Amino acid sequence: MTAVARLPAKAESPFQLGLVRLMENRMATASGLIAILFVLAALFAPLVAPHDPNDADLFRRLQPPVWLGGEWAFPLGCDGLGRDILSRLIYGARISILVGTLVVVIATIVGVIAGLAAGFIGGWVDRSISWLVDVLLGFPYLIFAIGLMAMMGTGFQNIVLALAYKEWVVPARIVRGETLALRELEYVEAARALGASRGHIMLREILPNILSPVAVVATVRMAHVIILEASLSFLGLGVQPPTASWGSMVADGRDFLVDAWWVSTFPGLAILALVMAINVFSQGLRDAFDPRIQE
Amino acid sequence: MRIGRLIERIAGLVPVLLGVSVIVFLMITLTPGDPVEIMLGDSRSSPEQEAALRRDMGLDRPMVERFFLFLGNAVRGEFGLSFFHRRPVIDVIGERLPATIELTLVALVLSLVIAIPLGVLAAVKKNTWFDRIGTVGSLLGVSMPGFWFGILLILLFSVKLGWLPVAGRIGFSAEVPFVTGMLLIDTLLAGRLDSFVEAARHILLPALTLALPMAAILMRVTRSSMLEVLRADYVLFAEAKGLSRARVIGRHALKNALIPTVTVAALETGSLLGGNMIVETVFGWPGLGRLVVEAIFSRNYPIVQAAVLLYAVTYVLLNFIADLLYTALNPRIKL
Amino acid sequence: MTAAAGPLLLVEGLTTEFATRGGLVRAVDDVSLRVEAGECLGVVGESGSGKSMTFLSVMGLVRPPGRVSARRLMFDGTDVLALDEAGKRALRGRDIAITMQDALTALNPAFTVATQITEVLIAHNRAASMGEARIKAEEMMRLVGIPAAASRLDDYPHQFSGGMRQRIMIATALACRPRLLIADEPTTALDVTIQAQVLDLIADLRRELGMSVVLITHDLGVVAEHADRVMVMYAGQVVEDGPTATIIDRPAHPYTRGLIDCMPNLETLDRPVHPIPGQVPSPLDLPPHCRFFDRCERAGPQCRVPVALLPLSPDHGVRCIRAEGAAHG
Repeated sequence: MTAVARLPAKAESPFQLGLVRLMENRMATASGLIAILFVLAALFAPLVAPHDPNDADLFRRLQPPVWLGGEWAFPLGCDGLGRDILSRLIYGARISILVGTLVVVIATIVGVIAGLAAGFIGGWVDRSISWLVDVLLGFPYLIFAIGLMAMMGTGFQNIVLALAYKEWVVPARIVRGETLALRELEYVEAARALGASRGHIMLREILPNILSPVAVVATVRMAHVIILEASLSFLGLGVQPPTASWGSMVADGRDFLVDAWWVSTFPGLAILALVMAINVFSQGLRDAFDPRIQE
Repeated sequence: MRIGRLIERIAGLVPVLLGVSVIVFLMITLTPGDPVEIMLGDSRSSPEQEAALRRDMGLDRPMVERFFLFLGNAVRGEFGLSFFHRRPVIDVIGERLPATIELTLVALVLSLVIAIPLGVLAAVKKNTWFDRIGTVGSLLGVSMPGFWFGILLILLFSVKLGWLPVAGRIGFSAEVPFVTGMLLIDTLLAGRLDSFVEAARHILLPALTLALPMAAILMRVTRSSMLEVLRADYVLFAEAKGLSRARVIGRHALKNALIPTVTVAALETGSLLGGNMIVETVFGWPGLGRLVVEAIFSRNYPIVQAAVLLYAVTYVLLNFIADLLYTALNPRIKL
Repeated sequence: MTAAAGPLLLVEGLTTEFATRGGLVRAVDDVSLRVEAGECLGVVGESGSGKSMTFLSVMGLVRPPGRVSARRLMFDGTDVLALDEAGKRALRGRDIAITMQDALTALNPAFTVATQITEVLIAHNRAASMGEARIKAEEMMRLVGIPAAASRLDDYPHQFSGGMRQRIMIATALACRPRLLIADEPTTALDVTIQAQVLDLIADLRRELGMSVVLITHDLGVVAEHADRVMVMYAGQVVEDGPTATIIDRPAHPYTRGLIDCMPNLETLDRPVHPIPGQVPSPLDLPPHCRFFDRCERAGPQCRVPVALLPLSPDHGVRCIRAEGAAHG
């Protein structure tokens, strides 16, 4: 093992330096680990979850968590239909993480392409993309998503689409700005003078340089998207029952606030923990990889 | 020349507003299902009646023409009839609007009142325990799902402690004459202090829920702009003049540090609009946000359309105001 | 306020340190100086030599993590080290004033010039009412040569030209008629044509108000014209001090000589200007011996020892062990 660690040290790239800085940030590393734990739980939900998340049993209706007189089989208690809250939380993580990841990945791909096109081609392409970005920024996020959900109907695929339709403007704006700044730089000019094609310059000279701000922003946005998905589900506009999602679990628990606070509380805590972990991690990423923003 | 710049900027809003209306129009127009059937619902109607309604709504014309019809009507505030309420859409919205405006304004004030002192203190006491708690607090604030925070507040202050009402705007006993529709103002105008207190008790938790993420962001902004300003030469010079610390921080530093705070506050007021739906749903607040959510479930599309357009136009205007404010507050940049 | 015998400002063993990530930085290292009443002391050095930091330390304006210590710090017979924060604050702006390099950043952009001048008067009880303070502020603006002062009271700093802004900062500093003005690089931010005007203004006001002036600059020419005595700083230390004429005519420290050699001058225009080679050592990595060693043309093996500031004559001190030989030879 030590032999591996002692490989001859090469000149460290900015990426390696960033990685070292990230690892030194204990809060960020811990948050990253927490987020990974959530992802693992979601991935292996059938193995990890103690029960079927939709297995209802009215005899266990509103059974309290184990430390309030419940039983170890249902450690976080049961909801209004007697379903195991822990298992539903684990399956609910799938929805949150999958929606968050899909939306951010789609938005980043679309946004990078649109931003590159706007910044590099310019002219009417830039004008139309920028106009569309401005128009979409004109909507409060949740209102836009709700309007679209009203039109397309509820369901997993539609949530992803409704959020991605607006989310792409965030990377698009950043990439456009960075591209405009980069294309004036000498090395891009030099590549152009050497007769490199537009496509080559975009992909080889500009794209690698905008990846790190885009990646940092993508993580922050993921936290945001997870809250939005939970909000939609809470309003009943997300995935439909009986599929477990954290937002709808909180909504379910509203009816039992007086006698069974745990039904609403645990899913909310799960959202908070995951979102906070992602936020702290992304702050660490930014500090480590984007030194410009540092004080 | 300054007026020229202003007009230029206002003109720049037109394409954005146009685009926003296109999207709102398409959202509803492309909704699957026959709007006439949705509107008439289960009520029995003859094919003639349906055809007449179709004509009235302009559904027999081409899409582009219908868009301009929609736009013309929207400018005049005409959004058709809400079948569900059996009244013009604009009236239904107008009735719900004051409650939402009131809630938004109170949340705005709350978040400023919370964020500015805390942000300033965190900057002045940088790297102390106070600053660290503040940083964790603002991280919690931005990571907290609003609907859940609202529920926690209800659980604590209404269910467990019984200090504050669970939901709604005001008890039925406190009827006051309608002036602005904002109860905090109307009760005061009517001289009903008891009702005012009652209204304030009702608005506190929803406003706090709405204000929390905004306060978290504003606190961060205030802290970092204050830190930057405290390093400025003019703060050192003010100290060299022998001014008291309170004056150096409270006047010289703060007035400059608040420029970004106010700008971001104007921007974030727009995001309060988005939070409306959540908070109004959690607290049963009879405002525009809850109206939209109800309208979606009852497939009352004219209401959804009008409300989404209203939200979006307000949002665009708020962003515009934020931009103007930034210029106006900064004596060095002139229009 | 009674003038005691002895210098107006007396500093002994002033040291200012900053704890940084890289280690402890000693920005001001055991500096002693005095300013007589009515005198103008020129302080010369490159940027980073500690000359501004010395006087910020004197005024008590060094912020954490900076730490200031001194063996003695007397102002007009008062022991400043024994004063509490309020006492020090009362000295600032009233008895000791400072003007900064760039008035554009030193004046608060968000307040009118009237506010910025009157608040000093009010803080030090030099005006009973706002009305009185405004009258005095207008007087000060006239005194520093602002045309149409009355009508410009309520303008903001950015509405003035660079030279006028500098004058307003001076008016602010002098509002309470201090005994000592610390002018930190008063001309660096200005156009050449305006530099002379501002320096003449400071000289006139010094005479008119009978105050002492510390003129901090990197320009020996300015010092030659205005200062009675000169103090040369290098890497946080005083390397030479003495009467202006002595320093300019017979500099004893190689660094002072280097500064004089790289000063463009009418008589020597035909001669090439000689910049001093090399760089100021990093404050994190100061040599234990003479700090000018690496850049000194005349450095020899005997220079590899710590060097103290030693008197060449009763009023001329130098921090160079070869100085005596040089003076004799």
